[in-house]
Amino acid sequence: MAMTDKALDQTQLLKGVLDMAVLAVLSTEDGYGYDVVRRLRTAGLSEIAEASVYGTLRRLFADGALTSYVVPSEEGPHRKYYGLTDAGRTQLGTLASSWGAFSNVITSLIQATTHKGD
Amino acid sequence: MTGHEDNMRNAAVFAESVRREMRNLPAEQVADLTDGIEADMVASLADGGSLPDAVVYAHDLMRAAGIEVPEDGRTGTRGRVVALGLSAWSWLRHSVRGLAPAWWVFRAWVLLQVIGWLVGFGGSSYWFAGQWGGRELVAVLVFLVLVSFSVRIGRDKWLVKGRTEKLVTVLLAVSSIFVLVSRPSHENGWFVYGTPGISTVPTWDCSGTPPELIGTPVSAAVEILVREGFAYEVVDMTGFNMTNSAGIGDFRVLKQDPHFMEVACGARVTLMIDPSGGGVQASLPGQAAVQTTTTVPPATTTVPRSATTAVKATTTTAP
Repeated sequence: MAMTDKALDQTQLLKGVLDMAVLAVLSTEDGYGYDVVRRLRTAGLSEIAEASVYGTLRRLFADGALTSYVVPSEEGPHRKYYGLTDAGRTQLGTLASSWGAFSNVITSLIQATTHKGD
Repeated sequence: MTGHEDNMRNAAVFAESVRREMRNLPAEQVADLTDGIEADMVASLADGGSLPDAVVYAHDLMRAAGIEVPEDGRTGTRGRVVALGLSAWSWLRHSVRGLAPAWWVFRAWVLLQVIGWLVGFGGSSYWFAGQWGGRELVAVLVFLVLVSFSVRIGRDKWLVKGRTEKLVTVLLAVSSIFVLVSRPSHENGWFVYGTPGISTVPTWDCSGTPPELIGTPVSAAVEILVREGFAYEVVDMTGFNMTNSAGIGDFRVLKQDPHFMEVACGARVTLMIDPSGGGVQASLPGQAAVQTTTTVPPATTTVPRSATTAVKATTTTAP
């Protein structure tokens, strides 16, 4: 039960920051859909839904934040790779600033509550 | 089948199900949303993942992409049953697709039989070239060409596309049934195609052509003609009828009329032999004689097509 609640929390939290998480992952290296999922999970976002990531990639691409190219594979279907555009890097910078300020506020609130409890 | 091939097939079926859930969207948008989905799913499965619910997956994908998910009831029980049925159909189609190379070769063979049957070559003693008479080598060459075309069409959708491809597939499937049902039967060392229970010996009419008999012993030639429904007569070099003569069975046929591959209207075939073994008359009775000075080995003697005309025989033995 606790795990389900935790997963739900993470899913809810991710809704607002998934764009930033995906852009952050791709800022270091281009990747295809499942590669991005794998890197996000490795980073700690274990409950992330694959379809949500793929949809986010498509939307960011449509918005011009990402570029895309296809890499053929002899062993199977082609892979669609994504990388950041300049607009994507700018967007990531803006989102990161907002997130920094937002997380500081939340962290301060939590810390204040915790100290009060002590 | 390896795990990788299984994953590819499952990913293809899954992607098809997801695309089907997006059928209300423009085709271009569906293509944008689902491009690369197969590779991602193969990687996920290889990583130990399992196939998610295609309906939920499609809706998540659309929501994340900022596209409104239509409320069409497909998430209800009935919708899931329909989706499951469609997925099962997709799985079957993708499984059968693995047999495509065998189908390409098989349809080439069916076409080979149909061509042989249309041309009317007759039965062969080899099942492979069942409708190509004694032309097995030619049949092999034609078969290779047909396989080449068939593979190109199968791999590259070359020449035949869309509805035409489906029409050709249906025609070939029907032809396959015909060829397989009209299985060859073995008769006196010959394979003859025919409808079981009706007749295994073709009936020859004015459109029929006699088999190649030059070089064949008279006894064997007569047996073939009788079996194939031809009336015949045997004459010597002067045109004297020897049909009922004793001891001619071992003589080889020097000439025949109508000639091999010529229309046998009247269905009477005249076989010419040379009981004396002397000089060979190079024309049939009733034609200008051309004298030769050597004895031509019977088995290799042929008559120019221009030298063969209808023979008016005096005695006929019907089969």
